[in-house]
Amino acid sequence: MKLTTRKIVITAVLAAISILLGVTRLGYIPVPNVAGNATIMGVPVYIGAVLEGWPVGLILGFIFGLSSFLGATVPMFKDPIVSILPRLLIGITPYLAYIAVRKKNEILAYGLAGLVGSVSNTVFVVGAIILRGYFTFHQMLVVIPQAIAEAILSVILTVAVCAAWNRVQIGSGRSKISNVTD
Amino acid sequence: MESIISIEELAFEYLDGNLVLKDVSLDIAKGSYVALLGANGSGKSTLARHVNGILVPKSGRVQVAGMDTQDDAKKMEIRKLVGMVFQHPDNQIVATTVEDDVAFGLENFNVAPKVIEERVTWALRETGLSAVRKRPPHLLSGGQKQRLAIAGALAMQQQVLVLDEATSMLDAKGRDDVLQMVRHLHQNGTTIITVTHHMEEVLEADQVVVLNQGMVVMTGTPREIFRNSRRLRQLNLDVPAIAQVSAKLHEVLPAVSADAITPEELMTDLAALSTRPNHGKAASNTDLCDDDPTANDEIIQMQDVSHVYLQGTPLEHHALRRADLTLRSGEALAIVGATGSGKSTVMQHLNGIYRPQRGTVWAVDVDLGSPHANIAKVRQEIGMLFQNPEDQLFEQLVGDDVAYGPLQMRMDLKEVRRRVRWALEMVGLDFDTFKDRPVFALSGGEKRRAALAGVLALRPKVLVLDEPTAGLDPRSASDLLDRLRHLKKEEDVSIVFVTHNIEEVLNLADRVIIMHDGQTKGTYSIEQIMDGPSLLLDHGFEAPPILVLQQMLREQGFGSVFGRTPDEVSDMILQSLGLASPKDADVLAEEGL
Amino acid sequence: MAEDFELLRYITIGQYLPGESIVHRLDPAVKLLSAIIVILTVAFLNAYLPNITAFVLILGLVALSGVPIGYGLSGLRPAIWFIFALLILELLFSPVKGVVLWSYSFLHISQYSLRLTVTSLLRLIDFILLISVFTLTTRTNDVTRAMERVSKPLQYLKIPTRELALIMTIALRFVPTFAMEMERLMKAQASRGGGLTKVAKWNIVAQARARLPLVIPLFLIALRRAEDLVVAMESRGYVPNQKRTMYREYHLAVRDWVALAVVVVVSAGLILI
Ligand SMILES: Nc1ncnc2c1ncn2[C@@H]1O[C@H](COP(=O)(O)OP(=O)(O)OP(=O)(O)O)[C@@H](O)[C@H]1O
Ligand SMILES: Nc1ncnc2c1ncn2[C@@H]1O[C@H](COP(=O)(O)OP(=O)(O)OP(=O)(O)O)[C@@H](O)[C@H]1O
Ligand SMILES: [Mg+2]
Ligand SMILES: [Mg+2]
Repeated sequence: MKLTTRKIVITAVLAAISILLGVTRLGYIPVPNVAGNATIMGVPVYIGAVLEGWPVGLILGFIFGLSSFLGATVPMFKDPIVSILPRLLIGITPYLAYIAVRKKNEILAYGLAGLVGSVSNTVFVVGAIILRGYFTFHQMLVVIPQAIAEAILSVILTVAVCAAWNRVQIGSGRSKISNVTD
Repeated sequence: MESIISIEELAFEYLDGNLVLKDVSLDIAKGSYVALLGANGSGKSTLARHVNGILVPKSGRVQVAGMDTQDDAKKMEIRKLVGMVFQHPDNQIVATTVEDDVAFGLENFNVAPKVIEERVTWALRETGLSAVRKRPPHLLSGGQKQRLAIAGALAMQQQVLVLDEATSMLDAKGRDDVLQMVRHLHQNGTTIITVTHHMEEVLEADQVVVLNQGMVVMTGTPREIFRNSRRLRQLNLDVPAIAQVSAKLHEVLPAVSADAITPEELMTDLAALSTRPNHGKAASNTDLCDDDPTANDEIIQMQDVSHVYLQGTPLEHHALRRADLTLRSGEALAIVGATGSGKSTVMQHLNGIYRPQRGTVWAVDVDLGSPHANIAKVRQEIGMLFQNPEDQLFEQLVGDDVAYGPLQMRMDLKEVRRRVRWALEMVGLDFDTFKDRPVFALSGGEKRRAALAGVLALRPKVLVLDEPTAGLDPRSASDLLDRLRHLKKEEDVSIVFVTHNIEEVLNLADRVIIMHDGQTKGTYSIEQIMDGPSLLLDHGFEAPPILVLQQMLREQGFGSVFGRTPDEVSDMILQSLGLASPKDADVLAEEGL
Repeated sequence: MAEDFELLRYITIGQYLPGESIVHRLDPAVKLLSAIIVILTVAFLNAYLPNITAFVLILGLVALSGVPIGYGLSGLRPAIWFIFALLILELLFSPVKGVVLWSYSFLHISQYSLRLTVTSLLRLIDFILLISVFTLTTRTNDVTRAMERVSKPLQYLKIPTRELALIMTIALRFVPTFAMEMERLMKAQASRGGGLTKVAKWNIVAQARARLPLVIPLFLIALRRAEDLVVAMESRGYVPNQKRTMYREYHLAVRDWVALAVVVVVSAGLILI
C-alpha cells in the first residue's frame, strides 16, 4: 500500500469531515423509529474510495469505525466488532462498484458507489449485530426505513461531490431560472 | 553577483493548451530581495512554485544553486535550500500544536531531535509565538496563524525564502512586524522573493518583477517601476498614491519629478517651484460633503452591545465589550480596526445572525433582542456579505446560487429570474453568459461579484459587507467600490463595510467607526479624518500617505487641498497653483474624444 | 427560537485536563496500548463476575487519574433516555435463551437477555470512562504520536504506520477548522433566508434537503484545502514512506513497564475467571 502525499491529505480531510458530522450531529437525520437516526457519516468513505482508490477507502472506513466506536452512546456500538470491523469493508465495495461501471457512465458510477457503500454499511453492521447476538434478524428489519434514507442521501451526496470535484457535468447544466423566460 | 536561481525560457500549463507561464527568463542573485507583482491570475504563484520544484517546467529550465529542478535526485537538496510560505495560513498548518507544526519540516530533513528543539524555540521567539507554543492552531488568531506559517519556514534556516502573499491576513501592525523580520533575514544574507499586492512591501525590495498573463513585462528597482504609473494601471496594478499624484503633476509641471513616492519627496519638489500657491482662491469644499442633511432617519441602531463566544465552555471568549453604532438611511459607514478587534462580530449583529446578549439592536424597525423579532424581514432588508464570500457559494451553478435567497422566499420563478438578471447586471456580470456557468469556472474576482449578486437579489435596503475587497487586485477592488457607490446613489442602498484600507474609507464612506479591543471608539465624519491624520494616529493606525501629503501641503500654504483620491488631490494642487489639470487619456477616450 | 451557530461548542477534541497523577505521567504509548488491551478484553467478557470486576477496576482507575467522574460521563447525559429505551428493548426483545424469568404475551425476559442488558450497560460505561480518562490526560499530539509508536510493529506487514498517524494528526487538526467553515456556511445561508432551523424536526425529507447545501460545499472546500496543503507539505520537504526523525523523544520509565505488566495480568485474569 503506497500512499502519496495527496492521498494522505485527502484521506485526512475526509476523515475530518466524517468526525465533524458525527460530533456536531449534523450528520444525523432524525428518523421516527426506535433505531433513531439515519447517518451520512459514511459518505466521506465512499467519496474517498471513488476519488483516490480502495486503500484510501479502507483507511477512511477504519477511521469512521473508530470515531463511531469512540463517540457511541448506544451500547451495542460500544463493541468494536460491531462498530469498527464491518467498516473496514465499506470503502472497498464502493470502489469495486465504481471501477466496474466507470467506463460506461461516470455519473452512474458515482451513484452506484454511493448506493453500494451505503447498502454494504447497513448489511455488514446489521450482520455483526446479529452475529454478536444483540438482536435477531427479524428484529433488525426495523432499520429498513432508515437504510433507505441513508442510501438515497449517500447517492445524492456522492454524485454531487465527485461530479463537482472532477468537473463532470450533471443533468442539463442549466440553472432553475433558465427554464422560464421573462 | 553570484546567481542562486536562474530561470530560462520557462513555460508551463496546468491544462493542455492553456499556457499560464510563457517564456519567463529571470536571474536572481544570491542575497537579493525581489518583489513579484502582477494582477490576479497573472501567474505569480505558479512561478513561485517553480522555484522549489513543486512544479516543473513544461519547457525551459529552472536551476537552484546549479541544480536542475527536473532532477528528482536533487529534489530534497533544493527544498532544503528554498523555503516557502503561502497565502492561507490555515492550509499549511499540519500539526495539532504550534511547536509540533514548526518541527514538521525539520523532521522531514532528519534533523536530530536536540537540534529541532533549539530551532523550534528560536523560531517561536523570533515570531513572538513562544507564549502559545502548546496551543492547538485553531485557537490562534489569523495573524498568529500567519506568523506560525512563517515560523515553520524560519526554523529551517534556508538560503532562499519565498513569501507568496504571506502577509495578506495581517493588519498594518502585524505586517510591519513581518516586514521587520524579513528585513532582518535579508540583512543576514537570505535571498528573499516576495509576492505581494502591498506597496510598502514592494518598496522594501531591491528588484521588482512585474508579471502579466504569464510574461515578465517590467523589471527594475521600485522607483523605476512606479515611475510608469500609467502602464502599471493598465496592468491592473496599484501605484502608491503619492506616485500617482507626482506622475500627474509631472505632466503639467515638468519640474516636479515623476519619481517621488513619499510625501516628503513630493513636498521638496513642490517647495522648489517658482509658481506659488494662490492663497486667496479656495477651491469649493462642497463636493467633499455629500452628506445629505435630509437623510437623517436611522435605519440601524445598536447600543451598548457586548458578546461572548462559547459561553460556559473552556474556550469562552469576550469578543465584544461595548459597541455603539448608528446607520443613517442612504449613507455609507466604514468600520476599521485591528484584527480581532471585533469588527466581524459587530457586523453579524446587524441582521440578527447573533442576537444581542446585552444591549439593544434595532434594525429596520425590528427589535433584534426580542425573541419574537421578525427575523425574516430583517434578513430580507439587510443583506450581508461575509468575509471571504467566494467560499460561500453553495450551489453548483451561478444562476442557482444567486436565486437561492428569492427561492427561499417562495417567489414566483419568473420574478426570481428578473431579480437574478437585475442582480447579476448590477455587479457587472452578463446574465446570459453567467447564469448557467459552473461556480468553479469563475475567477476569484468573479466569485466575489457573484456572491454580492446573491445578496442583492433579495433587494435589500442595507448592505452589510465584511472586507469586500480583501484579496482582490487593485483594479477589481476599485471596480467593486465603484459599483457600491452606484448602488448607494442610484438605488438608495445604505452600506456598512469593514476594511483595513483607509484609502477605501476615503473613497466610499461618509462616516467611519474606529474599533479597538472589542469596543467602538467613536464615529467620525470623513471631513474630520481628512482634517487631521493625527486622529488616526491616536487610534494606532498609520495615516495614509495621501492624507499626510495634504496636511503638509496645508502647512505650506496650499490651503484648499482636501481630496479623497490621488486624482482629486493632484487636481486641487494644480488649481491652487492656478493651473488646469490635463485630462486623462482614459477619460478622453470615454468621452469619445 | 434563535439559531445556534456555535459549532465549536461540540468539538471536545484537544481538551486536556492538566494534572500530575500517575495516569498523566505514564508514557502515552503505554496508555494507548493498555487501553486497547483492556477494551478488547472487556468486549469479550460475557459472565457477570468478570464484568463487575472490570467495572470496579475501571472506577479505581478513574479515581487514580483525578478525572471527575461526572465530567468523564458527561457525554452520556444528552442520550440518557435513548439509552434507557434501548436497554429496555434489549431486555425484552433479545433472543430467548436460558431460563425465562418473566413473560407477557410476546415479551420475554430470559437469563440471557438480562445478562446481555446488564453487561452491555456496564461495557458502555466502562468504555466511556476509559476513553475519557485517556483523552483527558493525554495531549492530542501525544495521542497521535502514541498511535504511531504502538502500531510500529505493523510496519513489518507493510502497513504504513507513520503515514496513518500523520493522517490522524491532520484529520484532528482540521476538525475544528471545518467546524468554523461550516458555521460560516450556515450563517451565510441564514442571512439569505434559508437554514436548518427553519425546517421542522421530523420532516425527514426537508431535514435531508436542508443539509445538502451545507454538506456539499463543505466537501468541496475541504478538498480544495487538501490541494493547498499538499503543496505546503511538499514544500516543507515531506516525502511519504521515508525515514523522518521525531521531534519528541520518549523513554519508558520503570512505572511504564509496571503499568503495562499490571494491565496484561489483570486482563488475563478477567478472561480466566
Ligand atoms: N491547479 C490549477 N489548475 C488549473 N489552473 C490553475 C491552477 N492553479 C492556477 N491555475 C490558473 O493559472 C493561472 C495563474 O494562476 P496563479 O495562481 O499563478 O496566479 P497568481 O498570479 O498567483 O494570482 P493571485 O493574485 O490570484 O494569487 C490562473 O488563470 C489560474 O486560474
Ligand atoms: N465563531 C467564533 N467562535 C469563537 N471565537 C470567535 C468566533 N469568531 C470570532 N471569534 C473571536 O472573537 C474575536 C473578535 O473576532 P472578530 O472576527 O469579530 O474580529 P475582526 O475585528 O473581524 O478581525 P479580522 O480583522 O481578523 O476579521 C477574535 O479574538 C476571534 O478569535
Ligand atoms: Mg497567487
Ligand atoms: Mg473580521
